[in-house]
Amino acid sequence: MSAAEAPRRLRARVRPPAGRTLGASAAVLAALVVGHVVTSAFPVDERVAAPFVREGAVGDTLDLRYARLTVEEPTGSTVLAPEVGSLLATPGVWLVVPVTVEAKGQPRALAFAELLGGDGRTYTVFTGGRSAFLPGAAQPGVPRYATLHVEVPPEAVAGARLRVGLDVEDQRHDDVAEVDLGLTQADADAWSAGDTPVRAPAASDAPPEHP
Amino acid sequence: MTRRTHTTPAATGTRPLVGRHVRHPLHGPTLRRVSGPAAPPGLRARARSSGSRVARRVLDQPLRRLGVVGAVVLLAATAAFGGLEEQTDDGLEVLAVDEPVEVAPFELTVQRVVWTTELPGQTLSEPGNRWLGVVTTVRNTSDAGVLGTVLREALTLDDVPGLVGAPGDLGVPASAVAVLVDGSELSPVQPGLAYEVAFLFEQDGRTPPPSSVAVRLQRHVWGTGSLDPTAGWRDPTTVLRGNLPAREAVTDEDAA
Repeated sequence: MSAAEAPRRLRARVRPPAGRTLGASAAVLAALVVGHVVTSAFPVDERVAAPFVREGAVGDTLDLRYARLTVEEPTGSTVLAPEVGSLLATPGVWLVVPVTVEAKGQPRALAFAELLGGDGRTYTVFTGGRSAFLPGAAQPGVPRYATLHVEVPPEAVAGARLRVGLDVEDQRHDDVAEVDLGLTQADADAWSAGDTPVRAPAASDAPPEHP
Repeated sequence: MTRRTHTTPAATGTRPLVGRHVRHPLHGPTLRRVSGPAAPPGLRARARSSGSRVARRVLDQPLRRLGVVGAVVLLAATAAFGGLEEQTDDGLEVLAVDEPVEVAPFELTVQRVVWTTELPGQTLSEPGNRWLGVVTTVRNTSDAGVLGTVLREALTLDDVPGLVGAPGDLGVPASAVAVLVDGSELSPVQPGLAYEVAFLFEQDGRTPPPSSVAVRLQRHVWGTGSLDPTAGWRDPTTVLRGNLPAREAVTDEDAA
């Protein structure tokens, strides 16, 4: 062992006092506790991740980050006539809502929709199934005419609002349109008493024909 | 400076008598296993040279003692995750027909079990097979729509020979859940509505039709997954099971 190595080895074997070790451990634990309190005591995650809701009414054109969206006057019945397949009956009422999408910048396929019922419940609209919204790809500058249909109990009709967005799985940090459909209890009563099938045509770039 | 000397296996370079048969000087051969320190000699020597008494004493402990202490620590740690909570689920309830039961997020009322070889709007995978249908009233009791994938997990069949579907831990799931009035697949299941549906299971036609089937009902819990932060209805657990009679479906013409 050289003369220069001896002091270095001695220094390496010097252990800090037990009090200092305990103090350092307590400081680390305290820092972890403070960090946990800071991250959990203020529930801001939901607000930070919340979508940007753009509100409007029937007939308004809402300017979203990815598209301009217009929701037209809804119709309803207890029987739905989809573009493909047989008639669908419901124990509630069908709402059929025309939606016009004009993509901005690049083609967009809007896939998220849900109905916030006047009864406080949320009615799922999926890309397939009995309650569906499938507008397909809208090209920039070319209006895409689609319809959305959803079955709800009559008590959900009055005061219902429709939400439409881009991603069916995740609406965080992005624009979501929320449209007051302007429906009343009279609409609910009339539609729940009628069995004339209401049409739900498939999405198209051609404007729908009005009878 | 004096240095303490040790006659431990680490110091002498001999291996500890772990797991060896030892011979007692008075009693001859014995099968008792002698438990020695669990740590290898090199690691123990380093612990001694470090001067840490705690490390030295821990590493001198036999494997059996370390195992007991580790098991106690592990069991104590489970208390933080509900390990000491009282187990309340002491068995399955018995399912009966025409009795509404809550299996979140649904209320299900099983009415009857029927079988048929023809069903409008539904296609069998092999000609000659048959459909077993569990006719049920479905209500979504939550405050939001639920997709049909959750509904299919809520009612399954058990111990029925010849079912075409692959059995899982909770029985065989339905091939489809059809709304009786129009034959459409029930999805999404909207809250506040009562649907009359048939959970459909395809059975091999070479197997005789059953006279009874075991129906299992599962409830879900709302929450997020350990890897998927998206909230949803998860973790189906069987809460009711019942053997229900099955019969051939009666058509409208037969009934007339």
